[in-house]
Amino acid sequence: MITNGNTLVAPEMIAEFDRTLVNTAGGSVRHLVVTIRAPRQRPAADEPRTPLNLGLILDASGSMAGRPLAATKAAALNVVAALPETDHLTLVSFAEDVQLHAEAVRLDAEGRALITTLLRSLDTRGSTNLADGWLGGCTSVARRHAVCDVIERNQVVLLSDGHANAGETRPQMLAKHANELRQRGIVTSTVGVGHNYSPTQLQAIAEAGGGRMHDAEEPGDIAQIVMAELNDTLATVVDNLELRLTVPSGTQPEPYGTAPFTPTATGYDVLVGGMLGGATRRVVIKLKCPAGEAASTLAIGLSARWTVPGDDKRYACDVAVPGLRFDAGNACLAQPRDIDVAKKVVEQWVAHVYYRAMVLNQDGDGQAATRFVEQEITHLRRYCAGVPELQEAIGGLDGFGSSVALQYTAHTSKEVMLRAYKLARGESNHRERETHDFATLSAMEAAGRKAARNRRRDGDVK
Amino acid sequence: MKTDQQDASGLTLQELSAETGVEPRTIRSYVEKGVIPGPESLGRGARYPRETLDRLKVLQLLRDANRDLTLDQIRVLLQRISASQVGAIANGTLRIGALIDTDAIGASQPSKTAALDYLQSIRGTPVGRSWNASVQSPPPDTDHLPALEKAARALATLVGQPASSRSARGETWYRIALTPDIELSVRGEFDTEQLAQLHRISDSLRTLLTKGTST
Repeated sequence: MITNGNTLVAPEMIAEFDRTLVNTAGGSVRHLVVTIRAPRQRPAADEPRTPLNLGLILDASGSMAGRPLAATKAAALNVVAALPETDHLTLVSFAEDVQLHAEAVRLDAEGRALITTLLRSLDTRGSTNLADGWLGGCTSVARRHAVCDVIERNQVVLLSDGHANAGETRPQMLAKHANELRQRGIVTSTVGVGHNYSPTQLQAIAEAGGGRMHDAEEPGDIAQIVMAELNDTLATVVDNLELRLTVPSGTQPEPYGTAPFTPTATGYDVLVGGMLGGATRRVVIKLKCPAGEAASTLAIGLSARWTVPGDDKRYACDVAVPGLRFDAGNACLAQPRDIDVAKKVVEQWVAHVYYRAMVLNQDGDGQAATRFVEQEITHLRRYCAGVPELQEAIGGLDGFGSSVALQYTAHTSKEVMLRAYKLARGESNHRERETHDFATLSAMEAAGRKAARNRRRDGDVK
Repeated sequence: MKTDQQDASGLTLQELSAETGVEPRTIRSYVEKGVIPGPESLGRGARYPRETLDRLKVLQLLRDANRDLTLDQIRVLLQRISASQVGAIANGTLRIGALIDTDAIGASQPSKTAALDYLQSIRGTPVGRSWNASVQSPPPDTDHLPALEKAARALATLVGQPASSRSARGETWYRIALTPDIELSVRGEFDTEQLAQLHRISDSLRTLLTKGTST
């Protein structure tokens, strides 16, 4: 039964629409904003926490040589020192091969000594077979999970500084495996190191894996971030949170943000994942509505399902959703937008535009990225018309639209995607430096290009 | 509709019944079985706290969500819900009507071997093959570590996996670190039961080895 004291651990969920009238002729676009607040409950001080079955999967490819690997080892040693002897640790490193250094070692004195020795002997080698390293570590965690008699929290932390370039590399396939493993009780979080890792690969794994993605911009950030992830893991009060959206035939939903969105027999599932105690997440779903009879209701159903760490049950609840009522086009246009809800919509919408455009940009299709941004700017302008505080939020998109036609540097694109990801999840970075806002990042990219042009021109002159 | 007076002084059995549509005798039986709080006073004018009404409403929601729930299951569930959560559910701000059993209470998570089964099922893909071929590398040469090889072979036999040629390509080795210097490597594919046995053996060996070095 549900733990954490003797209280049901249920997130609080509020669903709102920016407008509740929809056109009888069809084609109305409405935004459903779901705000989820995780309870603050923590286990009582004298209540032992759920033991951790932790897998640390470390990138040992050549690019990690020097400070990154040293910092990674230090981070892992911190983890070993911080965990009690009721926890178990698997240690895997990957490069072109995968090495299982230790599997489900109990962190008593002997176990700590073993892991410490193994970490000290870890060295770099070859290319980046990220998928095999990750799945290998998951296998070790799964082996212990399969034979362990007590309920443990099965968590994998994958740390990498590069793009997977061997084994499985497709983000959608990595996400598929992550999702399957999450449903089977293994959560994966990821830590990207430096500027050259693949945010799309690591994010796909973390999002679908029910965990979190972190950015360790500098080697000095690694220890802090790995410990922060560990703390996040232990502070998680709700896991595997999924929203199930049920929509009438003809309704076309599209979520903003990066959360996995999958069709089901009755509608769509949005994976929110794990939530820390007291955390707030917001999911915004755009709904293109069908035609309907005046005064009738377009009923949107919403329910949530989740698990609780230390429990072996799944829980669910319905979420009350305001009704959308069909009315004549003029009445719909005359209906004022709920400004508070609209602000939440625009924040997620803008982040969504930056993220999607950057994915296209990094895929090498800058023209498509520009077209996408221009099209979204048009819709956003219309949405924000007459509301100054909303228009402010879309101010930087114009410059971005023109600059995104040319390929962004790995550093700036990573920062843009990271900011969008964190905004969508309502999370802050654990690293030393916070990300710049979108407009600043776009301006930095433009300045970098200008400087590069000047350098080339000066070189030509010489 | 509940009045302010009801809030202040509680509700009679008849008022509870009128609010919820539940027969008075059924309400009494719920109280007797500890499912909902009883009255704050005794006698004909006994008054029930507001929480009784809220819990009764939640009980009905649970019953609506899953007709198969037993009263005992409901009692346990209601004990786990805080008064504020019960109030929120009862007044409709938090709807836990489906809380239970369809996909919730009573529905356990996937089996403990599900993740391992999944990972084994994708071994046919490059991901799985690569993991086996590269991670589970053969142990050191037997000339240098004959005792370890013998132990591995003996253990493989013990857990039901006949030893095969060490030179076979793509073979699977299952390795467990015992101490910083010694690891146990066993060749073969193991089911869950065999893995559990192997881990128990490893734990015993580790205990023996570490005790031996510390004394």
